[in-house]
Amino acid sequence: MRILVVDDDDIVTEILENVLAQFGHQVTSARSGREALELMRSGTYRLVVLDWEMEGMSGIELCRHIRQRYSCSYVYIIMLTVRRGTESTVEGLNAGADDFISKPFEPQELCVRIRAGERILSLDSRELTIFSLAKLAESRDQETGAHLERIREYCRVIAGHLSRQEKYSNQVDGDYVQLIYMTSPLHDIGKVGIPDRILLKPCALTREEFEIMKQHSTIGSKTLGAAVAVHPEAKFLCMARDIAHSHHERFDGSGYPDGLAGENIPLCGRIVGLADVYDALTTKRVYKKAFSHERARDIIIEDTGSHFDPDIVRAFLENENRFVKIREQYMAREEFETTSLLQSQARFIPELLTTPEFSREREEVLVGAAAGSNVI
Amino acid sequence: MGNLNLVHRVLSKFQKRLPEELAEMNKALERGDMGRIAHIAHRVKGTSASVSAKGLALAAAEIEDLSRAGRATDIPARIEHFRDEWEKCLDEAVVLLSGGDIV
Repeated sequence: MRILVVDDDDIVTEILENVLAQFGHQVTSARSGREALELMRSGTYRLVVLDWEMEGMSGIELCRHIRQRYSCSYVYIIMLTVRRGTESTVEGLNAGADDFISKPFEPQELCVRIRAGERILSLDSRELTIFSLAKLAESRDQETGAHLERIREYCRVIAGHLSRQEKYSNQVDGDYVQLIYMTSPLHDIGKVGIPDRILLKPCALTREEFEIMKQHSTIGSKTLGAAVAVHPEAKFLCMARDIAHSHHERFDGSGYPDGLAGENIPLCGRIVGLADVYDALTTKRVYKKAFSHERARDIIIEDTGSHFDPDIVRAFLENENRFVKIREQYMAREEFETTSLLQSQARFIPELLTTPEFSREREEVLVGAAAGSNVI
Repeated sequence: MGNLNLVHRVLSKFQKRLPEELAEMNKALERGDMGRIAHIAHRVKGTSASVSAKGLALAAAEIEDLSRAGRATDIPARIEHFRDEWEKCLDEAVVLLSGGDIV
């Protein structure tokens, strides 16, 4: 287990490092709250042992900071203290500590408590739950296949790139990257509220139908927003809500549902927006063939500044190879899944095995719609 | 802990650190900065306890309590007591560090 130890007393950190290493843990230590927060930006530490009394930022403050951050997975906090008494315990628990160990600590006790923390962390299956939920919502719309798997990979690549840019380093850290990986699959969850006749319609939507289809972004954000209202501290819910709401906004303000422009569109929405369009373009849909990476790239470049945030497009272009690789990786898997799906349904609906024939004119309209605006 | 190297490193650090802490405590006392004394004493208490220097931890705790209670006049005597404890500790540490009776 990777453990972060925070204490401004290097004698204590040395003893802790040694004891924890002997029990097989990988330990990193920080000498101040600030340094600890900096290290935690990587998103790699899920268990923190911190000292209550530190110069500068106290353990209590550090605890609060950790709890307030965008965090994709739970961080288990053990406080090290010489304080005793209910009052101190209550103060520590209020700040978000999970457990206490009194100084001087017994190595055995420390390790048992760490094991208790590991048990709690292993129960934190939030990530899996979220993805299953997203898959469930997507299950009516079978043709999209591994869409969610790809989307989150693309988002991770873009966010990872941004985290290395100075402009975004304050906003995008390792934790943000993991958070968008986890929440981006929920972007279309509002489609559960769209009737079958529209969601599954294998040809272009009428204006009225498209208006209804557009509601999926607000249905999704309202649903997730209701959860945020109950758990305002759950940052992953906030991000999921923002993504569901804003992934169809466009950089020039011509998108929906709010017609937001530029940086008024949440960053996560701008990232998912590009990933979603790229995926729609490069995979087969009932209304269009799969475009090559090059063609999709040209369309995205063409729409830079109008549809897409130039910074996000740059992140995409600089990581093109990774996009291609992700797509190829899932393509093979998808072909297999689609075939077995068609076979299983063919028993009941033989028509499914025949390719729908479109008139040339109609296909052009649909392809244009997909490329330009109506990727849904 | 079964790690003589660690004991050695930690005790050397401790040995070097304490005089600094003591000097800083005296300076704070001259300024009448009770908060600072309490802070240092608290830290020393924690460190001492961590290296099993119980007498020292106790002496530090007394200083911490007095400074928190604002009893400045009682503190010099307790700092003296702390210094005595420190001397005792030092003797023991020298024995340990020389590789004497440990194991």
